[in-house]
Amino acid sequence: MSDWIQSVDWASMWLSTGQTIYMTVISGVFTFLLGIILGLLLYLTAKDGLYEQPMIYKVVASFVNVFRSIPFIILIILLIPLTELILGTMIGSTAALPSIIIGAAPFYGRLVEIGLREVDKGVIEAAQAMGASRWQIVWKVLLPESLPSISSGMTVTLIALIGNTAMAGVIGAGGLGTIAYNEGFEAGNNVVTFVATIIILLIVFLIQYIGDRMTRRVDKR
Amino acid sequence: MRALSDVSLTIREGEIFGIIGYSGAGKSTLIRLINLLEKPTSGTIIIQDRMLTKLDERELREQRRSIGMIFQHFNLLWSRTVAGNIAFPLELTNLKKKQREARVSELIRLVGLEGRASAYPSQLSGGQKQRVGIARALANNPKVLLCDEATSALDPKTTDSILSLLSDINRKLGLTIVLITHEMNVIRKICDRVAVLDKGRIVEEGSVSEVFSHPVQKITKEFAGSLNGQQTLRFRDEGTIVFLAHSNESKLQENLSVLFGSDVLSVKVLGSACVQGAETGVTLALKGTASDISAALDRLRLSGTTVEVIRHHE
Repeated sequence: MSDWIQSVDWASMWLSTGQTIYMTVISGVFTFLLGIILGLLLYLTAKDGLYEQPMIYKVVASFVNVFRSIPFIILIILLIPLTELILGTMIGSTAALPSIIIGAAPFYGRLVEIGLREVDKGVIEAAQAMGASRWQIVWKVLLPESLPSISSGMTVTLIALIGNTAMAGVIGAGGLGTIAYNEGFEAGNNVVTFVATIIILLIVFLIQYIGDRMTRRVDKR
Repeated sequence: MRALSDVSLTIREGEIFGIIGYSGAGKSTLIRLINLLEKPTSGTIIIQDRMLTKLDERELREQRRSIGMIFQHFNLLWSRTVAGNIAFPLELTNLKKKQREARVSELIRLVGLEGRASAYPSQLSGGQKQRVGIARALANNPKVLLCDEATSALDPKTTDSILSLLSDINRKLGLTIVLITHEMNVIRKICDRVAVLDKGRIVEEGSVSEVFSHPVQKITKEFAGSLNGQQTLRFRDEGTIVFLAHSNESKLQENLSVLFGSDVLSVKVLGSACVQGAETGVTLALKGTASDISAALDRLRLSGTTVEVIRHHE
């Protein structure tokens, strides 16, 4: 047992855990904001939407479809120039953020759009009949009424996003994926791989648990 | 496709105006034209001397605040409590929080939902949900209330309680109510005047008793026939409502002519004659003093007429 514990460099294990959490939290926040904006844009500009705009809809929809289809490992490499432009570097946890966000936000945007579509048309009509402006409908009707979908969609997205943080090791992002690959696989230390897996699972379970609770709390249907 | 054509209606201030028709007749479109949820391809809509069809988007929003609307499926926000739903239209007008809260509790009392302020719609019955809908529609003191099949999703007993609430509000607040329905009893119970809508056109229009005691169009006759004498009628200001029946048709006619000849009573035929079991009957409204009416009814009973008082005059 003590051999087992000693075969892991715990300092670097905790450092990697910290990096994974850092990437998850920061890209999670941006994915959330960007996804809501994309979802609203798709919903509002669609045919028969509140701001029907066929051109904008087409542009946003193609952007979402393209970036949702590119495998993440390729997306990271494709976005290296953009990352350098924004952050001035292409190495490290922070450098992984743009590609993680651009990989996850379109996916989340679609989930938000689906949630918005589920909002009862009658309730929107009632708000219009009461003299609500379109922005008031967005803030006071659409977003509050789709909160359960926004919350459960975010849970699903965050878990997918953790998978991507592990892959970001290819550009030296660090995190539990990198340590599992470098020290676990390359150096043949299976215990490290095992421990990294357990930690990732714990993070995923925690997110799922919190997400489920939040979704249940906001769902008054 | 043309949902409505050649529709011209004048609705008087303070009345309850019903529009009846089968599904697909264009009722929903017609009521949505009044607050411009549907835009007409041609024609005008005027409410209290303001031409709604001429307003820009902002002015229209302003105007819509003085037109309340309730719906068949209530259309409440499930994410808000009863109080939150009623506060919604008040939030749109930037009313101060204190005034908003005062107004909300006033409205909760008006519709009889005391104690349910913090309940969510999913915890309410259909009738209670419609009461929330009514309170919400009245929040900004509208002049007009539009009712889109407001009782069609409710059971008969709840329908009655919602209808009497609407008729109370109409009297208390002097509110003009426009309602669409496919249910004849809704028209009979609370409407002053009615229009019959068929395939996008208004085929008959007038006071409820006029239209349904002398229906001209086939569709009006169908609606009139959907009520027999047994149903509870609640005409307003029509006097005491009675259903008279006799196994012998000519005897009934004889008795009726005596009744019509009375100096002290004014008699009005409300329903067309109908056969009930072995008897033929007719629904009448009697106006006069209580003692004159009961004396007349006693005489009728003595002559073998079945007398059923449907509603005493209040």
